[in-house]
Amino acid sequence: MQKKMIHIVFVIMLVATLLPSSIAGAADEPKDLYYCSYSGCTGYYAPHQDCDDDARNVGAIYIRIPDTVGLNELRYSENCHSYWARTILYESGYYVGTTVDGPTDYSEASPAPLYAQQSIYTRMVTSASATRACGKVDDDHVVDVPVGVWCTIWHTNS
Amino acid sequence: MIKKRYFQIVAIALFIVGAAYIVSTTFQSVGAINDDSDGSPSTDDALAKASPTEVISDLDPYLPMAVTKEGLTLEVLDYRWVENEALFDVKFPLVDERDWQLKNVYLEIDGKQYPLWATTMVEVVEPAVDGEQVVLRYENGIVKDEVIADTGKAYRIDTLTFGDVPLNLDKLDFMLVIKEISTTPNEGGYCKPDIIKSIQNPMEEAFPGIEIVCISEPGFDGFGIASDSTFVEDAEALSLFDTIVNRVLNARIIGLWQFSFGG
Repeated sequence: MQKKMIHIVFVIMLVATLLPSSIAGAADEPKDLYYCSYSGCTGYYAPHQDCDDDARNVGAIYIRIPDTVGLNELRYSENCHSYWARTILYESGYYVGTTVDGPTDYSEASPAPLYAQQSIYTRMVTSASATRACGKVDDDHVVDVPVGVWCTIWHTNS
Repeated sequence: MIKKRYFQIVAIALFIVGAAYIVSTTFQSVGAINDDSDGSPSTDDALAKASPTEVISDLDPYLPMAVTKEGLTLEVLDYRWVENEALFDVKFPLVDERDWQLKNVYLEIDGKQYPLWATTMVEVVEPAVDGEQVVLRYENGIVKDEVIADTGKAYRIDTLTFGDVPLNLDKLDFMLVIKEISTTPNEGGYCKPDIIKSIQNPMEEAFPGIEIVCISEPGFDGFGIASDSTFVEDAEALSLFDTIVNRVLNARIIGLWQFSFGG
């Protein structure tokens, strides 16, 4: 009988060990466990850390010379608390440069003219500091970076 | 005697269950705090309900102005001008989780079209996931985010900025025209088989033998005509290619939402 009791207690303890973690896991599993966050994302490209999963355009400026030839975006991931810049070309035949201007600057420049709807984007920076995105196109030369024109307004995440 | 012993064992077991639960919960909390040890905001108020920030101008009794097309209601919540810039706060529904934007937008004043210069997110209430909605709100240069219980409504408010408008805009008739709500794939979403096929097939039909390539590498996304293709310099092929890529890549809800304002 005593042996049976010991078995029962052992089973209850085993269940007790597993039960709390499964309850907590289902109820309030922190999403950030699966993503980099803030400065932990700095220097990575968004797709590398799946930060593009929930990416939003939080500020954008159209590049007009004078016709609108591209869109420069400040991108934000709430999962990763990070910003980056993306410039989408609307008309074929332009070199494109884009810069995320924040606590750290990252830039990209196309080595050749791009087709319409092709886009370039920078590495990420933490959203804890003021950041903006700048972009430029050129029909003749590779764009010098960092870019300081066609900039969005400044953003910070808190 | 045996009953008493049994009662004691059950009591001890219940104590162990309770203690294990408390210890486990404590470690979970410590883990969550450590994850944010680089200065991220506290998540204590994560479930606090957001209050809407719809600013309505006192200057115009007609605001907010709403127009419904394609089953979607767009609203102008406020408008204002600063020197030669006119700004409109426009609210539009989000039909799914993608990054929808107002596109093909212009301001018409005295028959002249003024292109959209810039957009700024004011507020996003994202579609619900597992009974919760993420809210992003921009105020005084700061984006704040929080999670709220499902309200059943997902929407976005953007400030649209137009430049070089007449200084006496308040005395003129003008019209805000929004022709579409569209979304471009996120960075990792370009080279999907269905997208590639939707571009390759019509191009192949018009230019037999043409090869379309999709490139998605760090820092770059896009489609192109294969560099060894005879069509890579063909103006007609390039023109059709631009049109098809634009059509396939950008999901669109075409409508005509027009908002007229009197002087």
